[in-house]
Amino acid sequence: MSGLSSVGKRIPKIDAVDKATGRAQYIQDLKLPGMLYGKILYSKFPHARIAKIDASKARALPGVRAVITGEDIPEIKMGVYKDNRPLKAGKVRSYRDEVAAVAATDPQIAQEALNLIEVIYEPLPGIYDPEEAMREGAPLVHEEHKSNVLKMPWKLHYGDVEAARKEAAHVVEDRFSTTWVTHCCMGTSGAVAEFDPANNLTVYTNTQIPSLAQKDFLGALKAMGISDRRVRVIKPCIGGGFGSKLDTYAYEYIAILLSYYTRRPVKVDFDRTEEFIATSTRQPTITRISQGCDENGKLLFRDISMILDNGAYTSWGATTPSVMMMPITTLYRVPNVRYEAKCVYTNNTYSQAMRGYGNPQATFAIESSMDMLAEKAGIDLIEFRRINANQSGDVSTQDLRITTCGLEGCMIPSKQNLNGISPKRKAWASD
Amino acid sequence: MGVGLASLIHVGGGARVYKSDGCGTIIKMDDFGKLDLFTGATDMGQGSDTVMAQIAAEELGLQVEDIHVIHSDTDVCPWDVGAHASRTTFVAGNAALGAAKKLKARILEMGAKQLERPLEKLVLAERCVIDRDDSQKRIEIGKLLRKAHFSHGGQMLMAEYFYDPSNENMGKDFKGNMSMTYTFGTHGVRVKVDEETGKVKILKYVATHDVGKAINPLLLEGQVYGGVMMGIGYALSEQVILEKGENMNPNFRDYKMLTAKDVFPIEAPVLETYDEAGPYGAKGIGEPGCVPTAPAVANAIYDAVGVRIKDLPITPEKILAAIREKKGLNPCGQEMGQEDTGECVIEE
Repeated sequence: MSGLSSVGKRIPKIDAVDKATGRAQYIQDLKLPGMLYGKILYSKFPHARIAKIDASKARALPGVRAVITGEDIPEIKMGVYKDNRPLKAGKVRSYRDEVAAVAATDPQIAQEALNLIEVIYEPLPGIYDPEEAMREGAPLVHEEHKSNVLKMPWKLHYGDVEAARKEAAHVVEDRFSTTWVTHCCMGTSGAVAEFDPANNLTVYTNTQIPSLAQKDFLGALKAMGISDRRVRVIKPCIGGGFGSKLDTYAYEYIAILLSYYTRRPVKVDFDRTEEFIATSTRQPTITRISQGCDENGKLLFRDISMILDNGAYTSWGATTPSVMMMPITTLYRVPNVRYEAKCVYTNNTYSQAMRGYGNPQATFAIESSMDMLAEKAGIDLIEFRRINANQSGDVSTQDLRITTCGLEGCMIPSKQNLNGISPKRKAWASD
Repeated sequence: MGVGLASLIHVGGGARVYKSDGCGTIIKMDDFGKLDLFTGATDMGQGSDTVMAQIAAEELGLQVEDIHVIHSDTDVCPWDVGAHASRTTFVAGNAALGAAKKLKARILEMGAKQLERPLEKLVLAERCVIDRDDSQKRIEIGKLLRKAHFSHGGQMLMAEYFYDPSNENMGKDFKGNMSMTYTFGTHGVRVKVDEETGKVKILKYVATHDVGKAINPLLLEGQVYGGVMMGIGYALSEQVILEKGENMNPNFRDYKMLTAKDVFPIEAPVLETYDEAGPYGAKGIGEPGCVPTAPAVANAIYDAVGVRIKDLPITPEKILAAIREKKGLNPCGQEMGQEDTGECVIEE
């Protein structure tokens, strides 16, 4: 392409000056007439029955306009698996479980009111390790599911892995694991909800999914007995997403409920501590991988099984195996592939989408193992990858159609600019 | 010192994980040749508004500053499945391109009448309709529009386009071409590992991506730099520490995210393979920066000191314990069998 005047040019972001000078309006800047401030009370236990909530003292505090608990509100189901509610009723399953919420004229009053809510818990044994959670007799996070293993279908087998394993000249096998990390958006989460007199709802929220959020909030209205009304989602400036705002969350529904009960706009926004505690992480994984190649370094098979710590509820994190399948089947040419993933409930924080959507966890195992296999086969690390590189026109076992592929070319700058990646791995074993 | 590398594949042409992978765009031009572009896309700091403006400006012969991008309101903007799967440049970009092409066809038609030249001889550039053969023969787009607007049976210039790629939902066996195209890349890294402390220093990082076409190399590099920093945090230092479900480090002092002072030299070479399905050949690049980072670093650490850490993050404690184990020492550096077990406690 030639003669382009805008495309291909190093043009600074068109909103850069607004953001650098403070003109940009974030959710924290938004203030509507008569707006109330919502605050959320979180669980004091990782797993417990809620025996009793007494909010009478909080309700009596001057400035408090509404206090809601899981028992007071309609049953709004949230998340991919619809196993979560904005405020929990009956039991809590993690420390970040929302137990009650307050709307008040001032954020300090709302905070004070939270301290006046008395909750009596009956602690239950918790489960924090996904492998233990899979064992017979482990405490159940959701009793109605009968098992902590989610009924999700993540399983594929293309070609014949066992036959290829027998054929392979070199095989490596190992276990890799990853833990929770979080998005650390500069802008913390927040929402303002407002009803008009006819019960049409406007939600200002820093979401990555305005259209799907609109649908979710319509679902909430339906559960609240409000039908045939409009939902409008307005996004202020968003201070980073990285996947964290790819679902709708309890705090958004809590703002909606508080606004509905008070007939006033209600803002719920997070401070940094709350952002760390009450938003979702990348999903931790335990990966068992084996790969094998022939004597010329051609990959013959890849066999992966994975356990994901789902946490107490199900958001998009549980669907990341669908994206992991892409590197697992198609990062390099692999004729025989097997993959299975189990998502397991625990009393930990629940996971969400995060930049890469499972791909970083899968690629950590695959590319570490590729290095080990190259070494075992005695082949140069780049040469080994070049031998197996995808090419334009390939169709992988998963039917992914590689229209254009510059993978081989992408290896060159690494080789040149790092002054030659070690031509052959030093033989550490003999050190 | 050691070097390591790792490669990646990621969806670069949308990802059909929902019933629709579409995005809509509405554009309208005012009497002065300026354009309002209403996109379903969500700019959350990645710069998609700028990319939409570039694409529309390019197609319509306008300047980027002539385009006002509005992305903020479901009452105003068309539907979009969301800012995920590195799809915005590709999907929303194609939607913006489709709408701009519709408008372009009408402007050219109007220009052909006004300049009395055949349509195929005309181009849009420099905010004008210009005769390819005689660049003096031109009319400003704003002027052309005013003529069309303020005349009998007047018209305005507006267009909409909904782009839903022809990628496929995965079937029961998980087969299916989920993306129109795939982004590839290789990350290489040179590290220095202090064998006494286990501390890793990143000396240089080279992250090369096949992006189809860089619509905006400045923003693209920003995506890669940011992704790499996030990926290095994932590789070396970041972890939410939960003890029996309780978050023990909900603050930036104890949660070790990399900061500006940790930045190391990063190169982000771009390979342009020009993918036919992408707007101007582009593929998505939102996520890849943090995809192969951890294994590239793990491989480099192995190259440097001969220990392979298989559990993220690769903290100095883990490296040191592995180095000592290799030497037949316990994690505290004492000879096996001679350690005073009471004193050897390493906590992360």
